[in-house]
Amino acid sequence: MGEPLLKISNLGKSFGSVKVFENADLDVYEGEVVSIIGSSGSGKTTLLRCINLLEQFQEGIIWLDGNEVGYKVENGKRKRYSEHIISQQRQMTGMVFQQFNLFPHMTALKNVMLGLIRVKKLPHKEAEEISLKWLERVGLSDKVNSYPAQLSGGQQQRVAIARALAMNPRIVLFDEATSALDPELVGEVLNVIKQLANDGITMILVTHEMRFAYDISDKVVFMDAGKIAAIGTPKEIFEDKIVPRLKEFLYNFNI
Amino acid sequence: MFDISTNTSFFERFWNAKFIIIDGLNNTLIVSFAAIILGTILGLIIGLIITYGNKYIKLPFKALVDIIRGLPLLVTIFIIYYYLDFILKSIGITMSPMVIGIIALTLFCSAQISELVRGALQNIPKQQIDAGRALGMRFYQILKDILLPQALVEILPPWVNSATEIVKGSTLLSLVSISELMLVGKQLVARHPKALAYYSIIGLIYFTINTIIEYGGKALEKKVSFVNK
Repeated sequence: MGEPLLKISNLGKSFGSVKVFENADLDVYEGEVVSIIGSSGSGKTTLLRCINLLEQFQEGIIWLDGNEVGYKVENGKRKRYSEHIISQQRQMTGMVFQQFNLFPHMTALKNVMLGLIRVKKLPHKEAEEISLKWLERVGLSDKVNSYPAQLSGGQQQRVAIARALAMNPRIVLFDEATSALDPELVGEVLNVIKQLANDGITMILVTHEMRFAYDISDKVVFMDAGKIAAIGTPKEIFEDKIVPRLKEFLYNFNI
Repeated sequence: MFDISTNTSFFERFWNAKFIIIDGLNNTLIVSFAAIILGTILGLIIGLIITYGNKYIKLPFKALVDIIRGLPLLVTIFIIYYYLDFILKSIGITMSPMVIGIIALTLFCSAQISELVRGALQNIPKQQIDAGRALGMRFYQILKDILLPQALVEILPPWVNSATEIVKGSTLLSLVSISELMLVGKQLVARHPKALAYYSIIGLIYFTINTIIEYGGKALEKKVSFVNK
């Protein structure tokens, strides 16, 4: 299998004296789909936000494509990289948020184009072509000139997915991408994500959609009380329920 | 200057004074619009410093804004007019009363605008910054492309309000003998005591200016609003 694309080693994070999680280890290989499940407050989202450096972490190391991200060790002291380097390292990851976080003052097309123009410094025409292609892939060719307020939640989330994917990240992070959606809109977003998974895009999903996680994942991570309690195949997690706490957790989902 | 014989009608006198009134109006417009434009630019800068600056940098700006917002405009005008003039004269610089008036109103305007900017920026959900960062944008890019465009649209209605306050506030400059519209009105009344008639016309002129500003603002609001698109 070679080197993992993302390697997390002994990661620990706390807000002041409150530990969010500790001793987290995880390897994600190119093309893998990894789901993170667990009850609210178990640290799933925070772990995801550490990977693209939206959160600082106090212990451990994250390697992306063989490079240590976020921190360097200088004279035996751990030092956060400058904002400039961190913003470059963030380009390797794309992120899709629970609340979509589209830019409300821009059309769907401009939302997708912004990063291409400002960060990748692409010419306007090329950025527009890439953006249109991605909006087509998420099924929104007819909405390119709509503002977020004119779109349904599902459509907004698909724009957000196009915005993340257009940047051509090595790995895409989905933070409860369907949790804020009306139940009848969840399907359209899950279908897009499934399509991307089939296309071989590496992704990590924090999700409460157990059925979806079972179907789509190569690897499932179960977090409980600030620790990674189990990592396994969907079968090991959802059928064999390899740790006792998992049984209790999945019982709430009738699994 | 103008005819002060007693047997001419009010309208005749008024007509004879038209150039003086236009001069006064001209000065009012210059002082007001210079203060609005400069005050907005300065207010934006101070607003950004107060919102994002480190605590030592923002302290003096915060203090300045609080002081100006806490003082009646007339007191600010007197302070600038007498103290600044005194200080500048002592180092050999003389400034025209108009410039001093512009400085006073600019400071007043910038204090209002900086608070508007701070409030609008702080109202934008933090997730907007996250979304920009997740794309790999630097903070100055997030500010320029994501935060400021949203904040500026939000402050437009209160900004229009501030602009009309400045036009109204400029009448106070008549008390430090800057010959803007209000002072001209007073001088006309002094020569021909038809106060109600003169002040009505002067009032109508101010009302017209502010109505134009408000309608311009409303039109601009419609144009830039993204919420109801």
